[in-house]
Amino acid sequence: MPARSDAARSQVARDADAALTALYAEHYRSLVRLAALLLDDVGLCEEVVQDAYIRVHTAWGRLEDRDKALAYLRQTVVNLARSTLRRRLVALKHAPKPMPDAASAEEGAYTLVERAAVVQALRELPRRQREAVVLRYYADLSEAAAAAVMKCSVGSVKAYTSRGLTALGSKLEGLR
Amino acid sequence: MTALEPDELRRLLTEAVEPVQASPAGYHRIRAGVIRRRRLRMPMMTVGGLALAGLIGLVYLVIEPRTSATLVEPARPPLTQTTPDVTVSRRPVTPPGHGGTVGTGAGRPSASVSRLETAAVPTSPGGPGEETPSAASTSHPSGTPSNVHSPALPPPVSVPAMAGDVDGDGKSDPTTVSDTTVVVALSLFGSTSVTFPAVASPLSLSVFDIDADGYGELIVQTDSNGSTRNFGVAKLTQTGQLRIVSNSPLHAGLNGAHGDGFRCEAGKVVVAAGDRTTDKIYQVTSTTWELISTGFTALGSPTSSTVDLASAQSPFTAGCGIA
Repeated sequence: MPARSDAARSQVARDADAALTALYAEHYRSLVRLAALLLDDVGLCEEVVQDAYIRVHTAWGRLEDRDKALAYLRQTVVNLARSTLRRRLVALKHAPKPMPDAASAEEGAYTLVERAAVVQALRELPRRQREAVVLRYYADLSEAAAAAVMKCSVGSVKAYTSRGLTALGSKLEGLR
Repeated sequence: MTALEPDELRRLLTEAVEPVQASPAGYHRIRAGVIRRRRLRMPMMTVGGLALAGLIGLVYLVIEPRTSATLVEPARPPLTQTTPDVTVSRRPVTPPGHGGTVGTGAGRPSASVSRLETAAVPTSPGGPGEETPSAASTSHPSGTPSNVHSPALPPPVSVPAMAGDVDGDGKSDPTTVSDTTVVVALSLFGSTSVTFPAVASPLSLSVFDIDADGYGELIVQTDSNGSTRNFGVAKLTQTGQLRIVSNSPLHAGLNGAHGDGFRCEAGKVVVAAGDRTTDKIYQVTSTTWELISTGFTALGSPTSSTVDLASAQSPFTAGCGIA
C-alpha cells in the first residue's frame, strides 16, 4: 500500500514538473507583464510571478481541473500582487522620509515601463479599478473570468471597469 | 471628459509593458523555489505535528477530570485471587502439604492471627477431606485494593441472594474477622474488607439479603448495651467493595422494661421496639425500614400492638440470619 502511494506521489510530481515547464514557456512573460501593471514597483513583478509558479507547482496534486492551471496561476498572481501592495503600503507608512538626493531608478526595461504615462495613470486608480481594467483590457479576460479572479460579481467588474476607463480617459486626455 | 476607448487602452497597455522581458534565470529560480519548498515541507509538517500534539496534551491536562473529585473507594484485588470456598467446591480433596486442615465443620483460626474468627457460613458443607475456609483465609490479609474504577457487579444469580452470598454469584462467601475488620472472601472478586467502629465478642455475624437485590448484606454485632445488642450493616457497592450503611436501626434484646428486635421480610426490615406495661405484656411499635444505597429509610407509619410474651413469640429478637 505505501509503495503504491509513493508511486502515485511520484507521478503527480512528474506531472507538476512537466506542467510547470509548459506553463513557464507559454505564459511566464505575459504574467510578468500583468504583474508589472498591477504592482506599483515593477521590480517586484518577477518575484511575484515566480512565487505564483511555485505555489501552483506545490498545489498541483490538489488542482481539481488541471486545464484551468493558467486561470489558477493568474489568480495567484493577482492575489500575490495585492498582498505585496498591502505590505508595501504598511512599509511605506513606517519608512523614513527619503533623502532629497536619493538615487534615481536604474535604467532598463523597468524604467521604461515606469515612465509610460498609462502606467502612471493606472497607479493612481483605486486597486479594484486597476485590477478590473488590467484583467479586462490587458489579460483579455471576459467579465465573468475577471470577476472570478477578483472574487467579486460581474456587475462589480463592469462598474470598476467603467469607472477606471473614465478616470484613465481623464488622466490621459492630453496624450490623445 | 470622455472615457478611454477599450481598444486604445489595450494598445497603450500593451505598448507600456512591451519592454518587459522575462529574465533568463526565471525558470531556474522557480525550480530552486520548488526544491526549497519540498525540502522545507517535511520539517514543517513535523514541527506542526509536534505542536499539535503538544496542544492536545495541554488541553487534556487542563480538562482532565481529577480523580480527587470522584468517589474514592478501596477497590478489589485482581480476579486471579482464589477464595477458599472455590477451592472447597471444586477440589474436595486437599493435596498433601497444601496447608489445609482436615476435619469437620468450620475450623478455628490460626494461632498466628490475633483474634481471627470464622463466621458460621450456613452453606459451607464441612466434611472429611475438605479444606477448611479458615485455614485458607489466613492467607488473605485484609485486602484494601486500589483499583478504583472496578467494573460493575454482574447480575445476581438469584433474588434474594442465598444466605452467605455477598457477591450474588450463588456461592457462599466466607467471612473472617480481625480486630474490627471483617474480611469477606468474595468468590467472584477475591477478598474485600470493611472496618466497623467496633465488633462485639463473641462474634455475631450474618450475611443476609436485607433489601432483596440479589447481593447479601453483612450484619455484624458491633456492641451491646446491657442486654441489647447493636448491629451494624455493610453493603456491597457496585465496585465490589463493602461500605458501612449509616443509621442502622438494628438492635435486639430485652433490657429491663424495654425491648428491641428486628426481622427481615420481603426486602424490608421490620424493627420492633416495645415497653413493658404489665408483667410480660409489652406495647410494641413496629417500623418498617428499607435499605437503599444511602442507608436505611423508614417506610410508612409505625404500627402499635400489644404483645404478651407469655403466649406469643417475642418480637425482641435478632432476625435476618443472626443466631
